[in-house]
Amino acid sequence: MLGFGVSIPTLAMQRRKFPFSPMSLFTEDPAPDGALWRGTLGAGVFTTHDGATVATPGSAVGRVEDQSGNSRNLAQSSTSLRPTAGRRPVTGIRNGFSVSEGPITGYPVRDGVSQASVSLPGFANSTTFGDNSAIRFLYSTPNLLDGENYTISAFVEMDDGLAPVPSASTVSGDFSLNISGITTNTGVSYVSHVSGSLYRVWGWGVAQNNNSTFSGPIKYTGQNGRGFRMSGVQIELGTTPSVYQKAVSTFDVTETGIESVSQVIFDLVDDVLTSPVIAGGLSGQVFVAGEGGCYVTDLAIAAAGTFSIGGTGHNWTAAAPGILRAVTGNTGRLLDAVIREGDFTEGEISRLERFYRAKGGKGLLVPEAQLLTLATMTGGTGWAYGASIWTKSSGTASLLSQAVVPGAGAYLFSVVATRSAGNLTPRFTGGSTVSATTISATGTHTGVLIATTGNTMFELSADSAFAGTVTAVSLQHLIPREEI
Amino acid sequence: MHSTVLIIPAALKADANLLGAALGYGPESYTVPIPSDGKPTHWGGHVWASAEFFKLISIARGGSLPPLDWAAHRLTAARVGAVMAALIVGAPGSPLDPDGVPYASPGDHWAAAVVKARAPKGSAVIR
Repeated sequence: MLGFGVSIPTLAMQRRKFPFSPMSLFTEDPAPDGALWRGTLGAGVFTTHDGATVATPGSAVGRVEDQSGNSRNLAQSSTSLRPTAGRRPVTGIRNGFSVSEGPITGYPVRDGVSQASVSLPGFANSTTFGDNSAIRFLYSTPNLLDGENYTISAFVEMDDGLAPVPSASTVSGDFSLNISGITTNTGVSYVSHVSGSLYRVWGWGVAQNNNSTFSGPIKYTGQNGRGFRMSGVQIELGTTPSVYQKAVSTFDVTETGIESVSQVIFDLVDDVLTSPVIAGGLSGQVFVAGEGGCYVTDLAIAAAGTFSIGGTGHNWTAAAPGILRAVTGNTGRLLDAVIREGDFTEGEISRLERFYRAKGGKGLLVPEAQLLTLATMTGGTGWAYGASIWTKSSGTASLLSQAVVPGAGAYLFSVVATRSAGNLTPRFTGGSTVSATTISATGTHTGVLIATTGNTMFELSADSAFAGTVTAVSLQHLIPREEI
Repeated sequence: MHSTVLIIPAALKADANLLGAALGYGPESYTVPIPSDGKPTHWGGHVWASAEFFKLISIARGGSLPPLDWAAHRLTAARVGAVMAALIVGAPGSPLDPDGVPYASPGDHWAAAVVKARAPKGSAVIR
């Protein structure tokens, strides 16, 4: 087993000779009879690659212990390439703020406020908003979906002990709760008494990222002079607040009374974990579970080869570039990976899938209907179509494209190309361009593109030097099968 | 911890990695080619960096290098100085750039930093 939670049912173990044992990543001790996950960050995940220090949420992950006893730990000796340990409630993260109860330095855009010397009861830190002699705000930059309704909420205790008056106006009430720098719909009916003089307030509005990416509480000089302390800020989809989730950092989100699930979080830039050399190699499969879903790929490791996950390909050994983005929902949050020799049975996959869905993940990612055909693509200068093949001669940079409106999400593409010179880049355009790894060799090239809202075109962008053919293309939306 | 992008000219990649190793950050800190297609002009990486890291950067840029036996790390003080002078650091919201606003994700930060690093006359500190 390669460190990442190898979990192989007993029957399968009896059938084959396994280089990895059926133990799960992140468990504190070997899980019996194929048990998969215990939902707590165990002693098998370390900050340092030598295994000296157990990782905690927010700390780097330098080693994930091989639970099989074969010391095939996934490790990283370079600190900048280490992913980060994380946890979140089993029900998922709703709070869009990465810091919800200070300290004040955790809020990137703030003015006129200070760290409260005495925090609100039950909160680690609180922020003091003074009178109306100056504008006072405590903004963060949550990643909001443009045009969607969001609710922002916070816990407040007014200095006079009376109920707070949040306001949609900048010249009335005690303060406002802004989304995208704009006051939200709020007022005295958006106040809930918690206990004593502690209240929860909220407001809702539409994310308008073109106006501002800043969201948070603000007290304008035109509002009442009453000061207050505030903590427990939360921003979430919808028009009503849900139960508060505490966000200590991007990596550490918890909810009272809800089980926490451990994760290893890749930055999707360069973080990578790698096994030691596997002397005899491996021919089998890997099942990977993340925030965005589960995925199974074949795994062929040559003798003296290694297994790795992450890196600049955002994938794992022998998997399509970008697949880690799809599996983690483009968050980098990985729940587990299970490696075995030979193929998984449908029953094994189903069992693993159910388990990770129960931990707040999603089901097996499957491709939807085909979105492309060669015959319906349009070739720019230098491209010619005949005998069901597109051929390009060198001389002009141009596109082979087809209009598609993919909608946000992960898309699996495949391009079969011959190439005698130059490069070909698969990409989505319209809105923000999203590019895959450049194709610079003959062969079948697969990968994953994460589309953004506004993309309207799939393109194979050939540089001026590109000369070759495209003999097959494929583009399919990858979605968890329970969402089909 | 602050989301931090580090970018170094390709010609200095080897020395930059040696410097990282000498400082205890491991053998490889710059693994992402820039641009991603064609011959790299720069190499970079992303790290969640601590206040201690930024203090080290600030001190080194002030001309004071850590008292290490550079020769033992296959470096010289002059080559370390060259790396520090050329190193592009993007860490909005960190002690190095307290007025910068952090990005929503490391990927967003990386994409923005690469664009800025490739712009003509780029600053040694980018957001």
